Amino acid sequence: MSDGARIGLEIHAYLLTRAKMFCACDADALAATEANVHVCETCTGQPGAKPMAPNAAALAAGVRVARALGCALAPTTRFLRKHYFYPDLPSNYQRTSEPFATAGGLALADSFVRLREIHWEEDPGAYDLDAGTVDYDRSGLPLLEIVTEPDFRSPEDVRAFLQELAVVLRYLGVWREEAGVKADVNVSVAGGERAEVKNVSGFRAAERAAAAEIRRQLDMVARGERVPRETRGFDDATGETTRLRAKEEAMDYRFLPDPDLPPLGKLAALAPDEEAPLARRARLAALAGVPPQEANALVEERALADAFEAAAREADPKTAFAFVVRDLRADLAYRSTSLARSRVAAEDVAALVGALARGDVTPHAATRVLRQGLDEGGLREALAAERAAGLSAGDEVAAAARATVAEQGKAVADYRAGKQGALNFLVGQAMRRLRGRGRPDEVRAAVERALADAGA
Amino acid sequence: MTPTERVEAALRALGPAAEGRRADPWNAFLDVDAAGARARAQAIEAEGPRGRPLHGLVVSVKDNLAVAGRRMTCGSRHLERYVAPYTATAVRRLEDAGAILLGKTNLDEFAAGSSGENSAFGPTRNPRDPERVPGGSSSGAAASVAAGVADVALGSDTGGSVRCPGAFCGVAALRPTRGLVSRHGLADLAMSLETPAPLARDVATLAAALAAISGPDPRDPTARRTLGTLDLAHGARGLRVGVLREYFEGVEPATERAVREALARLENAGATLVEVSVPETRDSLAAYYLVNYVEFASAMQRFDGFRFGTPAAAEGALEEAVAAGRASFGPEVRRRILLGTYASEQEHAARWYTTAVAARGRLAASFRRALAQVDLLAGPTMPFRAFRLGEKTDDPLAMYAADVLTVTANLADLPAGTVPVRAQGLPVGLQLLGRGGEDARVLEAMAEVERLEVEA
Repeated sequence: MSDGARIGLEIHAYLLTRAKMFCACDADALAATEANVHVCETCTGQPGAKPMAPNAAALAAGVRVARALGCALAPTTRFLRKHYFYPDLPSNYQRTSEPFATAGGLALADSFVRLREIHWEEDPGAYDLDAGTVDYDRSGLPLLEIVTEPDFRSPEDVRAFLQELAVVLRYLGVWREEAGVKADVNVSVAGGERAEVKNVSGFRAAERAAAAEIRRQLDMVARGERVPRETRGFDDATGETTRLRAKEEAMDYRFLPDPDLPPLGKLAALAPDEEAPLARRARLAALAGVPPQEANALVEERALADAFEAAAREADPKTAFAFVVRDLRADLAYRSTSLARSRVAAEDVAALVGALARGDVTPHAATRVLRQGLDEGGLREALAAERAAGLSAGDEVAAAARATVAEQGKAVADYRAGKQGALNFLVGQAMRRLRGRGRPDEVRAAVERALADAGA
Repeated sequence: MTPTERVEAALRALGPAAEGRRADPWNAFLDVDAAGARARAQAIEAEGPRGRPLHGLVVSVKDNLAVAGRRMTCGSRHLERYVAPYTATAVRRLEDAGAILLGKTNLDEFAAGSSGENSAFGPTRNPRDPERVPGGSSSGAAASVAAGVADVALGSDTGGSVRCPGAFCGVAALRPTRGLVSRHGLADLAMSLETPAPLARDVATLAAALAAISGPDPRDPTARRTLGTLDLAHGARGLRVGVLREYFEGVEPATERAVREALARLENAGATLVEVSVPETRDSLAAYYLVNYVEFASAMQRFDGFRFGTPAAAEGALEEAVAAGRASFGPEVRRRILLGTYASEQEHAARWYTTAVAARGRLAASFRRALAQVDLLAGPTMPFRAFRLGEKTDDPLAMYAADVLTVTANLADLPAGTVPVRAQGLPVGLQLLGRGGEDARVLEAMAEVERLEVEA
């Protein structure tokens, strides 16, 4: 870009775990309605309290994210104490790991953003400056910090990157999504000094903060002013960044390897290898014959991707795609659940889609089977039952068509008068008689024959 | 004696201190829980021993170890009103083994000291001579055993803090290998150097206490060792003992004489004495104190005056409020925090802290080489016997010099015990160091020394 804008991000994402990073307290702490209920001696920094071994799920999550982003894993990593005084820190130091992953990155539409490093951190508590109180419910929650190189050239790229990152985190199932992400947005223009906009919440805000800061710096340059190195905040209401403190003297955190925590080695063994989410998205998109961005729904969760891939072995990929992306997701959303948490397995979906594609069950029946599977379990049994009940035999269909034609005098008259809608109506009525157990084309043909026989 | 009789005898020895009305004759206890001890004695008497190895033994706990519901002052005004909300693992295990907690013992403030004179609540006196120091920092712990009040004392050893008072007061004590006893609940002085450590009248009781408190603890990931089997009747036959040449440099004649005579008895009983040299011992004090200061500064970071019952923090900017909140530390604590902060600052860390860590590594390697040639190393525990109260308080460096023979075990992470040997007048301790993890071997040798002292 002509303004020479360079943007880098330091992204903090809460990891989805049952317990905190260094103690067994409940990590659902962000949902707590009372202060200081999910706390213990460790996450409140009581004298003598020690950290427990780092949360295994958090470690595995970090390794999986690093692999998904193409990073190299460090041979060993230690937790460091980062010292500074602030009321929200239970021990006035934060435990933060050395980078455990480096390099890697994400491809955007027409650029590539490199990653500098990834490391683990624990969350401090929540300080209420006005009340003068601290809530330690969130103290000790595991965070992943992802640091990029200043490779972004525009605010739009920032948002696009965060959205792609979200696809990765969602697929891996490691992200506490309701907590969102926080980003520190580092901005410089025209080769000048870098300002850091701290603690911006959300993708849109990150984009807006970057844009606001670029504007501010360009204005200064235009006025002949030098942009100082400083720390700023972003006010979402005004859309402007404001100065927090001078960044000239970097704080001396007196980093000390934490003697309470043994170093971590053999990081690669912490999580099994798996296909990277974006690579899988590309592959499944090609399979379904859609552009990669339209396949985001397939990788919303790993189980959906598994379901589509299995279903695409049983039926035409386009049919499988439509069923998974539209029908299955709609029913999951209606029940506020995910496929992984539901009673339906990927292989169940595949079996259902296969039966549907072969015409063993009607679309109506397939919907019934899916919903029963989600609500009560036992999808395979329900599917088998539907198949056994079978489609109405040819003479049943013919009988239903004749009965419908005999009953629906007005519609028949409309049909004879040339109103095409009347035929659809009659077909629908015949289908109702069959309680949905009819192949649509067969029922239509039967109704047309019945009309012809009745002299229409 | 029954548990109840033991408790009553202990309370009688404490005099008015038992009801909290005045300090006991040695100022050994900061808190006595007479009601709790009596209730517990009755309860376990009713239950019977049930195979619990410490059934009915009276135990004192150094006031830097947490006991839920009881004050934990760490010998400091800063924590004068702090009540611990949890119990240290080592303390809990003593109770599980059938012991009765009598109260919390006096210590040098935050365990920073070698004489017992740095407590904000007055110095502790040596029961063997009340004009003399008991040694520190587990001053009250050693005094409580030497005075016959407690059967077992739980203290902590960072650079000699149970062995020094053990030697000065004439009781047995052991600094275990790091990782044998959980540090969860021990207020930090220097995390990589220290461990909870027991003291007792005799080696058999000491060994039983260590066996009860040792073992892995999920709340302290550095605690991964077990004690293994113990044969206190093992004897001296076949034992190769390295007599450390550097350990006799600068030692007062009376101490040297007593120790060499004890070693001669050991040789007569079948041990082989070999002279051994570890020249790096001469650098040990500098390395020890630098590591100690840096880790202590980090450990003390959490005390900002906003929590833990500290008197009201000042208003104003954060830095002012924190400085005011930390004004209640004594001079030795302040000295160490300032030195530790300095030595770990970015521009100084390489010169001081990193150098100390490297020296520590070399020292540890030297000791490992020496212990490859022999089973145990031996020498005096302290360079002199208990000095008079006030004799060294004007000169911090003179006080530090008292640690010269004890810090090596913490630096090199070796199990090290002190056992009283026959001496005229004031007590003298013989120190035995073993290979890392061979705490049982050290205890066995201590038992043999003790047997020979009693026999002759």
